[in-house]
Amino acid sequence: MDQSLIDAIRTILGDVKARVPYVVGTLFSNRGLNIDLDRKDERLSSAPSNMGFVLSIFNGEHFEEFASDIIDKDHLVGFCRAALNTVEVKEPRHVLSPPAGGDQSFKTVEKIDPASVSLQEKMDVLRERRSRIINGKNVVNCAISYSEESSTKTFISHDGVINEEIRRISHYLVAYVSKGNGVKYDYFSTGGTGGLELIELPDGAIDEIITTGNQLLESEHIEAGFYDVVGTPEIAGLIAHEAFGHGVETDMYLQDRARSRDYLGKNIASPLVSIIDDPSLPGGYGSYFVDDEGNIAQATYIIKNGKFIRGLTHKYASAVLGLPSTANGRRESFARKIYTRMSNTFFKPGTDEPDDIIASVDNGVYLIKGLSGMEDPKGWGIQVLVLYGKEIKNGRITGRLFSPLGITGYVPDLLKSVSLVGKDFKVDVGICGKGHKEYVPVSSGGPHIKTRVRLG
Amino acid sequence: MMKNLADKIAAHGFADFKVIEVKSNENQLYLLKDRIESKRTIESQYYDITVYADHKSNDEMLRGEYNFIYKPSTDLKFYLEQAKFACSLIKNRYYGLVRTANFSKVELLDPRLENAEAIGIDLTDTIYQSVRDANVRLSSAEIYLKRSEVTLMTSTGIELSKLKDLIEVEITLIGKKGKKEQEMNFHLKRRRIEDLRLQDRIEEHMRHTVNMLNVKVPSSGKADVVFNASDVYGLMSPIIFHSSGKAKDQGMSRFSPNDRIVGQSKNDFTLKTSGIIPFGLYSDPFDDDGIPGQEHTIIDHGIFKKHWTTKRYADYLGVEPTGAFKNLIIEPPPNSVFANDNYYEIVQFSDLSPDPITGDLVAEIRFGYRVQKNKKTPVKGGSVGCNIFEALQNAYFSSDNTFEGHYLGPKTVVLKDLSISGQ
Repeated sequence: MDQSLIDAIRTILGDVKARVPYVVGTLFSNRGLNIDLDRKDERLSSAPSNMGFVLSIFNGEHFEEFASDIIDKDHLVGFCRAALNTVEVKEPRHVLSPPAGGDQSFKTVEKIDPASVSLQEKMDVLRERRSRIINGKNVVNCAISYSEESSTKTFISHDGVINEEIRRISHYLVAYVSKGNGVKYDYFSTGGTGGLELIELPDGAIDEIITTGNQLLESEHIEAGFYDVVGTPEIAGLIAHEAFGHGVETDMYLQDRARSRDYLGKNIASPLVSIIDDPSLPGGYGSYFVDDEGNIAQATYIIKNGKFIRGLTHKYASAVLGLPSTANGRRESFARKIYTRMSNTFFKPGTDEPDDIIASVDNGVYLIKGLSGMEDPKGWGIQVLVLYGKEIKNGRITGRLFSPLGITGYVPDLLKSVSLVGKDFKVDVGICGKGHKEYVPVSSGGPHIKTRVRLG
Repeated sequence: MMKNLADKIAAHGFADFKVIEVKSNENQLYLLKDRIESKRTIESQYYDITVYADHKSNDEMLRGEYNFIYKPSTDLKFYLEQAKFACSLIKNRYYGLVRTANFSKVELLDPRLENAEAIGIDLTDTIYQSVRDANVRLSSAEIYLKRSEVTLMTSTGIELSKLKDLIEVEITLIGKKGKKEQEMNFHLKRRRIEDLRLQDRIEEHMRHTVNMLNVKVPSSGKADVVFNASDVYGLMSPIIFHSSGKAKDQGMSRFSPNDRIVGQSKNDFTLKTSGIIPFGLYSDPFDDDGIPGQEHTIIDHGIFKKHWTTKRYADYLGVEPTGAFKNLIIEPPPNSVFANDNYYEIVQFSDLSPDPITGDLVAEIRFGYRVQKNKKTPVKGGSVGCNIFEALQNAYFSSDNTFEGHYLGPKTVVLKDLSISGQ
């Protein structure tokens, strides 16, 4: 990023610090590569651009933001001065905490720098994976995607500049299978913050999605009702994210939209349950060093041993509600507002072996891969869509597959029903919206868990 | 700027190129209860560039391509060098760019949006004046007003421009009775203010919000389910996917021309894609390929007629391109009469996203009614499950039409005997 532009903006912010209670500027830029392959075609593109600038002013009552992606020093200097001239400063109703001061810089640690591997080599790896998938039994098509992105964020206040550079990698493999009457699919996904080491596949990953895809051709619809279930880390993560992630984003408290507010400090889940949001999780796809308001990333215990400890905040929510500040102010891009958002949200591991958890179920379902979820913080409902689950009878997985499955239920019931928590741990790669928009990279996960849910 | 950019791209020796310039201005307003939480203005200008390089292999013409977003402050030369190398690695089947500049006249601008700030104030007033009920209050609202100018220029001589407006309003209402509270959130997206029918929509959702205070969880079992117009586009997404030229080309489509999509003549609906509905959300004078907005019948009285195709897949399949799928039009069969007094009428799902490939649907009921004879009981929770391809074999369409931004057709669609997972 152009240092003279950063210096110019910092000078302007310094000029108005006595008049304007809170004013900061954020510069975003990114570079990256997307590769998409299917059975017949290949596509190469740059990552969607998120280059832009936001001037954020709190006038004592509300935020006024001025955003532009015309990143030219003369233009932005004039843009900032004009914006500041229009702002009418009010008697402060709320005082926002200042951003972390001083000059700081952060960068993702990677083992294999994507830039050190040629595009040809990356294509060769992906083509070899495609070849293995499309030669599989009954495979009619595949989707292979690879994305690498380097995002730079420069957070400028009158008394400091914080710079972070995040490297994110994601990689998806999908096998579509058919015997002529309908198509089913299974997928594998991997990624996180880091380098190309993140796209290494575990043994058997490709064979497994082809085999499962074929098995899904014979899958059944489950009879609606309540079931004992074991969730993989992926399913546990979806539950944590939808149940006690969105529901504790405290901008929802400002709007009276989250029932969890009434349960702060109370027991809300089984004592085996601890849920954490941690933007500083090494390698997490939702990790960052500093949030979009200049707060240094740190872990937040949302639930500890069944007790609801605290919600997630952005500056405005923290100031208005008088809640402790967490580093969860995030925006989709320079073009969107900051909301309270999750980062990496997960169940804390327990003490049980995953195999023992499955063995403990007499009659239930092993929920394996997720598709999506949706929050309902006010009703405290939950919707999680699951691609497939396997029947468990007398502690053993049978050959019956159910697909798709929908978990619905009342969040406190679901969390109080958690009866076993595994000692394993894994987080996945995801994109999270607030309602049906405002998409940001996140991860969710945890260990295997056993609980009781309504399936349909 | 466009000409200058085109000259620089051409100088790199690409076989073809396509540049889409997007300039926009947006005003955003966020209301929190009785006050403003945030105001935002956004200016944007970027170029979506695709370049193509051709290769010959055994007398077969193959095509490499690379797509990138260029912003004027970045290094175009770097991107073009990267693009040239990327194109050399890709050897897809050849397809051409559109060669004739053509466009459809379709209204996409609301003159009132020229003063976006005043419109924001008007909409705010409408919201505050409409939410007047002892049991319902405004939780929050978000208003987005955007005008964009899009210019397409290609190496084949096409140069076309269009202007379009977009208005989005998201509102959350809270209903309260004693200590009990429920929320109703809804989102409207239109091209002109009057199509929002904001006051009517708020009043309609206020009634639901009050009823939501007495909800029950639905019972498990089989039931007929009434979907409202705002869900029909999502409901039809598996049909839209399988009727695409891409799905056909890749061996994924369930449909072939003249296939009967539904087995019973009483369900012989007609399905069209239209890029020319005035103020349609997906209406378009021309698409990203330069294909003019047009209307095509995809399913005619239950019979599949043709796949919709972008230029690329039209070339692969050897057919005329229809352009991308745009607004959805459904014309009901003439005698589609739903005669049942025992069903679920769903006002809102948490997320209605059928799997476009398999057609499987599981969606949580955010709010709706169980209708038994003339009695309506509010319901919330549980889920509706079905396979869309199977469910459409037994569908009913109301005869009253409505326009929902990207959908023109029956106000309600009924799917019979769906699985309800509840108590």
